[in-house]
Parts: sequence; C-alpha cells; structure tokens
Amino acid sequence: MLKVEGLTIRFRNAPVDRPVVDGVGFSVGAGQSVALVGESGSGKTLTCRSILDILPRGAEVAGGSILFGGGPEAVDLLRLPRSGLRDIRGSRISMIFQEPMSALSPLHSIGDQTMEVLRLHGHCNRRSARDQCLAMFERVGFPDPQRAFRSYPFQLSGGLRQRAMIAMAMVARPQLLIADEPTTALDVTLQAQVLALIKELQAETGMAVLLVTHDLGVVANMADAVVVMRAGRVMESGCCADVLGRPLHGYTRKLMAAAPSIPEMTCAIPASGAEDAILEFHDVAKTYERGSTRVRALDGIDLSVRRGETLAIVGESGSGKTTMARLAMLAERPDPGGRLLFRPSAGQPPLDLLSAAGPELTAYRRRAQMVFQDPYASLSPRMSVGEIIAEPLAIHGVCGRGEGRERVRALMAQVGLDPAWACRYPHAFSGGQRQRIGIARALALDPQLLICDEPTSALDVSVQAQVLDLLESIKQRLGLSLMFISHDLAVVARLADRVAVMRAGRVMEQASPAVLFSAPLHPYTRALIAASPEPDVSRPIDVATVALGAGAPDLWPEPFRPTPDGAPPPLVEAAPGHFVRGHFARRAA
Amino acid sequence: MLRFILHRLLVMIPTLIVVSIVIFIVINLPPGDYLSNQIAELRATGQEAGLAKAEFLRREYALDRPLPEQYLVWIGLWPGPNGFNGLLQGDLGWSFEFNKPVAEVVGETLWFTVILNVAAVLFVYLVSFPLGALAAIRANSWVDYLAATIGYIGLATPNFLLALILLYYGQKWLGLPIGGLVDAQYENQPMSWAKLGSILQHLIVPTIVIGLSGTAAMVRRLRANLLDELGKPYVVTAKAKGVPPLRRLTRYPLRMALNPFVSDIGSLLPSLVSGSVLISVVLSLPTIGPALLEALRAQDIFLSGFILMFISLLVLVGMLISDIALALLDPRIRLGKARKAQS
Repeated sequence: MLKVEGLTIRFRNAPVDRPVVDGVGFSVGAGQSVALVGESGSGKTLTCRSILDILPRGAEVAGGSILFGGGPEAVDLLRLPRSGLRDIRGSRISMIFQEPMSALSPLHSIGDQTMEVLRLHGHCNRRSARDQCLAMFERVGFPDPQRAFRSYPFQLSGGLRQRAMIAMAMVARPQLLIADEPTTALDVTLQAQVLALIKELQAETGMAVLLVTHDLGVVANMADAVVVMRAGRVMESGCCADVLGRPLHGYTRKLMAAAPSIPEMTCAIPASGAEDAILEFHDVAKTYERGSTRVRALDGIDLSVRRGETLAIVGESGSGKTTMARLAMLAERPDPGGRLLFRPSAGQPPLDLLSAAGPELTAYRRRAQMVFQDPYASLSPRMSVGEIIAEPLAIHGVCGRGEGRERVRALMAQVGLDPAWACRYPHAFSGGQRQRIGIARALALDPQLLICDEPTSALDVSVQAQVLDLLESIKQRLGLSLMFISHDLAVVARLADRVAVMRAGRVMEQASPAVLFSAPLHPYTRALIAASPEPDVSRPIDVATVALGAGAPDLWPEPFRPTPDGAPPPLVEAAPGHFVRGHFARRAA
Repeated sequence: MLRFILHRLLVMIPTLIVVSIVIFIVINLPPGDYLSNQIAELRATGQEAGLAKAEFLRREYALDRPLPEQYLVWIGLWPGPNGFNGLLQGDLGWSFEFNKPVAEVVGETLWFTVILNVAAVLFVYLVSFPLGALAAIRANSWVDYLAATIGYIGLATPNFLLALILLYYGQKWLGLPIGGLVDAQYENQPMSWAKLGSILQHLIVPTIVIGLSGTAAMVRRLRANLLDELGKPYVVTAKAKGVPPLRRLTRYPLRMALNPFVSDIGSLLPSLVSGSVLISVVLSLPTIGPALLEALRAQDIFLSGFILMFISLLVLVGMLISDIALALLDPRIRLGKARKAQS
C-alpha cells in the first residue's frame, strides 16, 4: 500500500548540513496499522508530512521514494505532478492532526469543512455530500449530527473537535489514514475513546493507518508494526509484539524503561496515624464568574498535605487541580467560608493563611514554592539562569551578592546542572534542563512545601523520568512535603504517598496509590486507570470501563450516582485511609 | 443578527450625547464668543446700529444664558426664545461669520464631503487589498518590493505636495480638471449625466491624494496579517485535503486576514476627514473642511459645533458598518456571546 524507501529530508539554509530525516524506509500494508515512534526531534512528523508534501517552509525532500498503491499501479508520490498529488490528498490519503483547534478553520462550520472534501474530489452533488457528512458525524459519535454540521470548531469541546477532524479525514473513505499524534492534546479517557474510534473505523473500511506518536502505550493498543525513530534514523522496526516485547535495540529498551506505566502494587502501606498536616484545605470552594455565568471550579475540598509526604492530585482538564495549586500559593483567594491552614512545624498552632498578612504572609511565601508546567513559558528569556535562580533570594533579602552567587552554584549542582552555566540564558537549554532550572529556583528559599503543577507534562518520556527522579531525591534529602498535580496516573503511581482523584471540582476518591490502583472503587477512577495506555500488547485498553466512568455521573452504578436533585453523594471512608464519594454506610471509626 | 444591529444602534445614542457634550465644552473653552468680540469691536468703532442687531442675535440664540442651558437649547431639549428649536428639531443654528443659517453654509458641501470620503475609503480598500495580498503571497519578490516602495512614498510625501504634483501632471497628460467640484458650465444646473461625469472627473485627484497614505498603511498591515495566517495549521489541513492553491488561499487565510482590515474602517474615516481639510484648501474643494477651519478660527460656535457633530456621526456610522461586516465575516464574533454562556 505504502512503501517509503531511503527518504531523506533536509532543511535549506541549515547551519549544519545534516539531513533531519536520513534514509528512512518502512512499508504499510493494506488494512495494516504502523506506528512511527520517537521523541521530539526524531523526524517522525516530517516523515509523515512528506507523504502528502506538506512539509514546513524550508524543509525539502532530498532523496528517496514514497510508493503508494498496490502492484503495477503504484505511483511515486514524490515524483507525481501537483495536480495528481491533489487528487490523492484527502480522497485516497487523508490526515489527522494533533491540535484540532488550530488545524480546523475557525471561520467555517464543521459541516462546511467536511463537505469540502467530498465536493473537491467530485464524489457527489451537494445533497448527497451533506447526507454522507451527517452519516459520518453520527458514526464518529456526535450526539446531534445536524447540530454538529452547523457548529464552528470553537463551539465544540476538545474531544468532539478531534472527532470532527476524524470525520473530515474519513468522509471520503481513504485507503490510508495518517494520524499525527491524534490524541496527544486530549485527556486520557478521551484518548482511549478516540483511539477506539479510529480502530473501529479501520476495521469497517479496511484502510491502512500510519500512526505517529511518542507514546508506546498508544502504540501497543493500536499498531500491528512499529518503526522506532531517533534523530532522523530508523533504530528498530518490526511487528509490534516483537519490538515491544523483546526490544533488540538499546534505544528501544531505553524508551520502554522510561515509558510510564502503572505498576502492579499489592502491598498496602499503612497510613501514618499521627495527623501532622503541613497544609490543610477545609471546605474550600472557588467560583469564577465569566460575564453572567458562574463556574464552580472547586467545591467542598477537604484535603491535607501531611508533613514529608507527597500528595498527588489527579484529574483531567477542567477538574480544578490547577485552581487548587493557585489557591495553595495564595495566587488567588477561595470563596468566603473555606479555610486554608499552614503548620510551619509539627505541634505548632496552625497559621490561617486567608487572614494572614504582612510578615506572616511573606514568611509563608518563602516556605511554599511552585514548579510550573511549561518550562518554556515560565522562565524569562531576558534573564540569565543565575539571575533567575537568585531572584527569590534578592526579593526576600536572604543573602548578599557574593553569598547569593555561592548559593546559586550549590542549587544548580543540586539539580544536576553544571554551575558554570549560570550566565547562560534559558533558550540555550533543553526542556528537561529548563525544568531543572525551575526546580532550582523553587528550592532557593529552602521551602518546606513544594507545589508541582504538571511539572513533566511538557517533556519527553525519557526526560520526564529523570525529572521525576530528581524531585524524588530532593524531597528525600531536604525532607520536603510535595503537592503534586498531574493528569498522568503512571507518574503519580511512582511518586505519591497518597492520591486524590478529582473530577469537576470535587474529590472523587482518595487513597494510597497501592490501594487506589489495585482496588479502585469509584467508576471514574476505574475509567482513568483503564484508559492509561500500557506499552504491552497483551493489556489493551478496556473501552467499556472508560466509557462508563468518563460518562455522565447519572449513568454511574447505584451508590455513586448523584441524588435526583443533582447533589453529589458525600465523601465516605470506605476503608482506613480510603475515601470515596458514594452512598455507603459510614464505617465506624 | 438583527438584535445585534439594533443593540449597536442603541449604543450609538449615549455615545452621541457624550460626544455632543464634549464638543460643546471644547468650543466654549476659549474665552469670549463671536458675538461679544463683535460687540466690543462695534463699540470701539462707535457703530451703535450694528450693536442692537448683535444684542438681538445674542438673545435670539440664548447666548446670554448659563452654559448648561445654552447646551440644552442648542440640542433642542430646552425651550429657547422661540420654543424648542435645536439640532433635534432640525435647526442647525446661525452662522455669525457668514451671516447665514448654518444649514445654508454647510448645505451641499456636506454631501460632497461624504461622497469624497466614501470614495477615498473605497480607493484605500480596492487598491490595498490586491496589493497587500499579492505582497504577502509573493513575499520578498518584486511585487512585494514595489508595493513597499509605493507605500513608503505614499506615507512620506506631504499630502498637499502630492496634490499639486498630481494636479499638474493630471492636467498635462490626462486633461484632468484642476480644483473645484464641477466644471463651471455645470454650476447651478440640475443634476445630469454630464454633470455627474464632471464631478467624478474632479474626484479622481482628491481621492488618490487623501487615500494614499491610508492605502500604504493598509497594504503593510494586510501583508503582515496574511503572512502570519499562511503558516497556520489549518492551511496545512486544507492542503492535505487536496484543496487547489487559489481556492485554498481565498477560502481560508485571506478571510482570516480580512478581520483587522475590516475593523479599520472605523479608524480610517476620522483620519481621512481630518486629513482632507488641508487638501480641500489646496484643491479648493467645497468640502466642510475649509468651513470648519474658518468657523473654529472665528469662534463661530454653532457652525463649528455642527460640523464636529457631523464628523462624529460619520465616524460612528463607519464603526457600525465595520462591526456589522466583522460579525458577518467571523462566526467567533457573531457567536461569541453564545459561547460565553455555554462555558
């Protein structure tokens, strides 16, 4: 069906004349799915884009061939005239992109954009094109196809947007679908459902799928064959079960080792009896007003971070986890009524953060520090690394200049950066190194509490593992308490002492990771766990569980359903240290 | 959509009220007024007869009353010496400088001003759109450089100089008429095709002169916008769908780049109106520009007040048009309210 041979792509005007894709070859059979795997910069996206000749400006194919079609009718896409290639684009080969919001035109309705594919390739008249689109919208899971037809991309949620993108790619019944990180921008439960949808459509139409991804878990769930790429070269390729099960190449092994997965845990760690909470949330709520509408971002949060532990807060986008971080940093104030308590050391009376002011508040700001999600946006490009790390010292007047320089060097060494780099600027560093800078800055003031808001979600897996190791060792060494916010259960399983699962501003379930991952009670927790793709072909995603738990609360099984008037059930301690939101008989304490 | 337009029209009313207050305050800021200046002069020269007339005008137009009352009388919300008789009732007041009712002073020039400015706006859009689009699509080619050169010349040359040059060569090579609105033979004649043709001929040079700097700015802006849009992922999507190049361009990025283009109508109009004052003087065009200049100099409050109000109205209408066009073009603006309600 598709046979790529010796594909070489280089950038014009590149300072170093080295191809970014170098002699890549693979083939995709009819009805087969092949995954191109690699970390950022491996050339996987350029490879798949060259098939449709949609390379970014400046990149050009320097050699090789891309044969499309079976047997004698095969054509070399790279040598096809433009008009011939246009006939293939969208009708015989189509593509799904990573960011549906920017990949769809904001000015045209979904129906308009989808219908365009059919009209362009002259398949049918307007009327039957419309009917086909509506049928496709229904197939990809739009509850109301007519309405979807009229909707604009910005009116849809992220999941529906990607479904619209899939509908657009599928409507002309292509023989090959190229999916470039189709689910990277989605929450795990949505990812599971979208992947399942692509698989179903593939089974129905018998098309081939070329999947580009960085996630080995996705590969294991989707692909028949794998091509592992690194720095523009193919490292290893072969049948999915072979490559993932018995990786031969060192790089594949490294990727496999770094791939996050929820470990099997059975041993229950006994919950520590003494309640020494460094930070406590009591009945905290936060409401945002946007025009005339009010959004309840957090509702009735009762949580505490114990001294020396890592409390992980897990949830999908919109669950309110980042709002919690912002409240804990006092970057925003909760609705009146809630209380935030901070206990500087064990046994001392707690400090009420919401009524604190002046020196007390300044002292708290020294003790609690934050590590941000995006290491690219959270460091000022106009300050050198040394200045960035020393800034908190200067603000709080901790030490003088010379002493500060010593401290910066020590901090950089602590997070694994060469202290000699202090005068460089952030753009000179990779994502993982930037996150280390962010951590060093957070540590500058000797905090007791570190709030990490998705610190690794912008990083490649192998780098993510290193940053997590660093956080863990620093926490051990300095005796920090961590509030760790993440959407990724596998990351949480590795790091956390206790996990709180959040959905729509409420805690759904809370337990130690061992308990939570081996015996989850709440259907939403189960859906989250089931949806995390594992790099193991023998453990596919259980889509039914995902669909149930990620669906509307009214469809959950009995004890978890909200009461008829819409109020959620209370958070109940189902076992020692294991809280779940459901109508259970309260255990005797 | 209808509700949107209605809403915008309603919003215009308080805007106009505020504008009228500001205008009234500003034209009354200089000490004294036309009549008191005149009365002082008459006294000095001992012309007692004229004095009576000036005093009469003073009472007639309520200039002897306190300022807030004067304002209300001018607008027509307060009974003057002859009952309610202000802008709202259609009485524009008396021009002391020209010794005629304001309506007569302004008269035809009003419409000519509107025609000239609309022509200038059309010129700006018709020229800058293809030029800007071409400059973006063929970025760093000769089209781009040519557009840039014309643009810089348009921005850098003083308007009145350009007007004189164009007049000279227009007359020499193309036989274009010099100055004025219409050939002398058609003056005071009923409208006919020949007269219309003459007016259009006379419009050519002023339109180009007034519109050129706006065009230059607009070309640069459209070029920058379109260049940005051309690299957006949805253009790649269109390419991957198999959309042919021209259709890909017009259907997607060009429409997106149009947004700032359209929203500029509102800010373009006032700059054109004020820019055309000097041109009108140089080209001896019967627009309200020269009248405004004269009225402001002589503290002729009713004349200058009305002209300023008229220009403000022109600007508001221009903004209304650009808002409606934007809403029609961009569903995000049209449906923005609904989206906020959903999320």
